[in-house]
Amino acid sequence: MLKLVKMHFVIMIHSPKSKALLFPLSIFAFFTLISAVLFYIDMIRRDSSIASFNISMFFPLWSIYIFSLMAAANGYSATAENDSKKNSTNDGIMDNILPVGRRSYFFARVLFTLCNSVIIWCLILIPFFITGIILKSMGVLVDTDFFKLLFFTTSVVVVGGVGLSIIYVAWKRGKKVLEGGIILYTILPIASFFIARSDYLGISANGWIIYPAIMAMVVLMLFLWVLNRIQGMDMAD
Amino acid sequence: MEILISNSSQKPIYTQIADQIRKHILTGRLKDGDTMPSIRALAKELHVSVITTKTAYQELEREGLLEAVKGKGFYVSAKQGEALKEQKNVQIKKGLQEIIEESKALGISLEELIDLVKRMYS
Amino acid sequence: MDKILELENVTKEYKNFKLDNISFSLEKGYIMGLVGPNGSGKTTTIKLIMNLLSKNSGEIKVFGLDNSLDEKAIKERIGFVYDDNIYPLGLKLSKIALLIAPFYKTWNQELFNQYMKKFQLDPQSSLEKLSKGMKTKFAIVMALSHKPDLIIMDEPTSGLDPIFRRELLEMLQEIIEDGNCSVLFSSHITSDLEKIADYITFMDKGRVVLSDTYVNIVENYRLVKASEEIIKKERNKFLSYRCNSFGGEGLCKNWHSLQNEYPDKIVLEKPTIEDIMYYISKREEVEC
Repeated sequence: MLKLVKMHFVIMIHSPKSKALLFPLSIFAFFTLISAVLFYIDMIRRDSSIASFNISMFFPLWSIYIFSLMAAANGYSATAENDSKKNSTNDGIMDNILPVGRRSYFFARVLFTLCNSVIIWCLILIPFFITGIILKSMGVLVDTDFFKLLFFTTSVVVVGGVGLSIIYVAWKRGKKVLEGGIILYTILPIASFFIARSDYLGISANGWIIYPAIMAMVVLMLFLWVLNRIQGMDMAD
Repeated sequence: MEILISNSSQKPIYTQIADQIRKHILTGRLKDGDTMPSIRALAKELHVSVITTKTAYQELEREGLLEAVKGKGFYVSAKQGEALKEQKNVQIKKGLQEIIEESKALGISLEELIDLVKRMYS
Repeated sequence: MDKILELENVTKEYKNFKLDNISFSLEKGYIMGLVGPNGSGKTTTIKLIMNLLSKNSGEIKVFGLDNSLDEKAIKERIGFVYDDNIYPLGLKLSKIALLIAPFYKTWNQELFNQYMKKFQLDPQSSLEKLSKGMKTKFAIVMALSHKPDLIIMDEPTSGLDPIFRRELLEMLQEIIEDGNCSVLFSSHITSDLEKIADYITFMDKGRVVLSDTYVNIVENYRLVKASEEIIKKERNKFLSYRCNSFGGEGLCKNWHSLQNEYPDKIVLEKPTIEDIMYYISKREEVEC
């Protein structure tokens, strides 16, 4: 099973579509890092005792950044030329020809997406957390709400990505699933932004941890449910 | 030993193969005890399916011209072939006798008959 | 005789299509051709054998093992060539082989190199730069490099030039020469099958219409050409037939009796696989 995961990482790194998305993604990663650093520098210059990231300034770029990251991670799946005959993809056939068994294949796909997602999660959060820690150590008061928002949005998108890969394996609908997924990644950060802002559901009510936790549980249950029934499902269109 | 197959002939390929092998046995090209190429080797050489050569060999086996030895393959059993040749000669003689008698009855001369045979043989 | 592949009453239901009670088997060491018009269910059947799809009912046994329970053991020994490219486009061919090889206990890198050379494929190039024919060639190399006991191919020769097609058929004959390897392939190019298929299975509209040795099929069926009257009179003996203003033609199973009854009035012809496929698919559209 791990052989499969490794194989998919190698394929992803070399896939033409990933190459098309990974490049902008690395630019954005760099951009985020730079903005965090610039903000930190700005804070020091201002001599202000409360530091709060200006959300409205960063948000649009930041959500595009997240979207492209997630799309890259899952979008590599369309590397094989799409078979437009029946709107199906040949993705998954190569895996299922190999002597691995369906459970192994399923595990490998989900694990692969999970790894990608965790890496991206770290890539997004770490620059900001480090900046926050540094500011705090300088005695600057940092508005934790921003970090909660960040955590909330990225976790939801990450968990959603894993959920999507489960759906993709279990109910292959080909191109439509992929397209739906990309749309989802655009809506989720925006939706979570508004949820986070609301008084009842949002950050102040600990929604920032509750919602990702609920989502994670739902995805876990979905995973177990599919794992149980996978022998009776179709692995190709 | 040649085996030449015509794809456009109405005769099934296995029949063509069997006919030609039979001829080789009856004319002595293949002698008693000779080893035949394996079914699969022959199929590969002639670019036909294995079932085709298998059917041809089985037909010849039924006629007693080939003998199958388990694990070793097919051998020519020409003694049987001799008997078969004799049998065919008898049949041909009988057939000729009938034709000759009918020709005589119809007033066809020997030369005319030979001529007819010549034309039809090719 | 060992049965390398057995399908018994296999059914698969979709919204618009049903694969209905498919049964046929293949003995070890032989080549079977799967023939049928588009949409007849050939690819679905092949996907079911490979456990890419789950059957609704029935049994599929490969090497005597259940194709779903013993999936791993079976796939070790199967070489599969799909109609479309399934390999990643951006990787070098040699790299693809490196990734796939560890999955097979019997992978032979020497063999892979030999085949790549034989098919004139450059291990340093990647699939996105290759034509469809070369992609198929690569798929064949991948399928053969782990010395499978069963080769399954879905339309392997479409997209290949006639020269390579013939080479491929010759290669298949070489591979089955020791009697240990078997081949199942679906094809539209029936002339390929005429050359080397031992068994033919005809499928139409999700059913197996006929499955027998090529020899039996060609022996039992004849294309009969006769006058419209004769055909209409003997219509029960025909699988299907068509008429034009100069007579009619049909595929007939009990042709011996027709030959005896109308020795001078009918023309008999050995049918090609394409003829049989055509008349089988038209069997419900009888015309005259």
